[in-house]
Amino acid sequence: MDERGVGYIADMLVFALLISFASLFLAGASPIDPKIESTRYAASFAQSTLLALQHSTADEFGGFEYQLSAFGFELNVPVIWKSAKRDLRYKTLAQLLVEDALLNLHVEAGGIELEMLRPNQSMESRLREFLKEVLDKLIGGRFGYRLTVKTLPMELNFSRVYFETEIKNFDDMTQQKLCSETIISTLPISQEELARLIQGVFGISTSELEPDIAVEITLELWSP
Amino acid sequence: MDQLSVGEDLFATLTVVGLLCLFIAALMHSYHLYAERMNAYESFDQALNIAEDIKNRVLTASPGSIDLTTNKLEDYSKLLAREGIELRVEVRTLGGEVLLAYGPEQKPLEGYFSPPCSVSLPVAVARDQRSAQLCELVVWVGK
Repeated sequence: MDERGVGYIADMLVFALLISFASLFLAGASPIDPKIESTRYAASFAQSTLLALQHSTADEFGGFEYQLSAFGFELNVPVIWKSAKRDLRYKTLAQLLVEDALLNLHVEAGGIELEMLRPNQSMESRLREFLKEVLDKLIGGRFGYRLTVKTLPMELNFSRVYFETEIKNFDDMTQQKLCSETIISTLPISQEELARLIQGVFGISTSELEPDIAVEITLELWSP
Repeated sequence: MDQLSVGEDLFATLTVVGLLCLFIAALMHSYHLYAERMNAYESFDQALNIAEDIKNRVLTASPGSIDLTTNKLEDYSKLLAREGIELRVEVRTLGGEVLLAYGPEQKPLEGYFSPPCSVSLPVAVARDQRSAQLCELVVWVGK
């Protein structure tokens, strides 16, 4: 081959190499940070989900009911079975969460949780299972989720009254958190009624009770 | 002056031109991918804005729930059409039943440079004053 021909080929190979670098750079370059877009979508999705939970009733998902219990056992005795059953299908999902918080307050004294007689104890576990099914249908597959419901702890006479529960569909904490959205609701009873309840059930004087006990419902969405 | 040797120099020229064409095609394809990605981000952003607008303003019945009325959607769609945006809205139950479908059906493979983009958000559809049905709002945006 002529020397000039070899020279042309060498020039073109260098040129082709430059084009390859440019192509690779363009193929790898991202015009916008994809994390920003997915975070924005996740935040909008979480807000919409929380709003939807405030409007949809349990009836939508086959209803929600549970049995009252005594000392951790459900009252399945035939005579009282019907009257011990609570059917809450007409309540919205957010109302169920708030009611669960109200009926299953935990008491801690000196860092130790006190076991109290809680007739609605089974509501907590049943509601967790029920909401997990709902959230799996609504969010599962698109995002990992963690729904936490908690009251601000009430510090009363060396004891702490609070509620906290969590529903999530992942265990892998290496996933990336995309957003966290919160709605705040108040307990559906008056301050006096709550004071009587705490005093009656837990035997704690409640003179320092906050005017409104807030229940925080937080939905975190994580990368799938 | 050198003489042109037809066999070898022509082969060299053809190789060089062939290689050049191949690499320029690769460069164009990379640019197309880049432009498509850019376009997808913009379309997604726009679709998300439109979906939020429809949920929070156009179809809203009360804060957080929507109504399945199409007349407001028609006006909104006309406004978007003026800007050259084609809209399709669907409201589906979680079981997949379509409760509302508005606008021409979008074909995902249509439009080489700007395929339609879709966004879905959960919504509560007001049934009566006391209850609402949990559904999914799907919005497609095409140009």
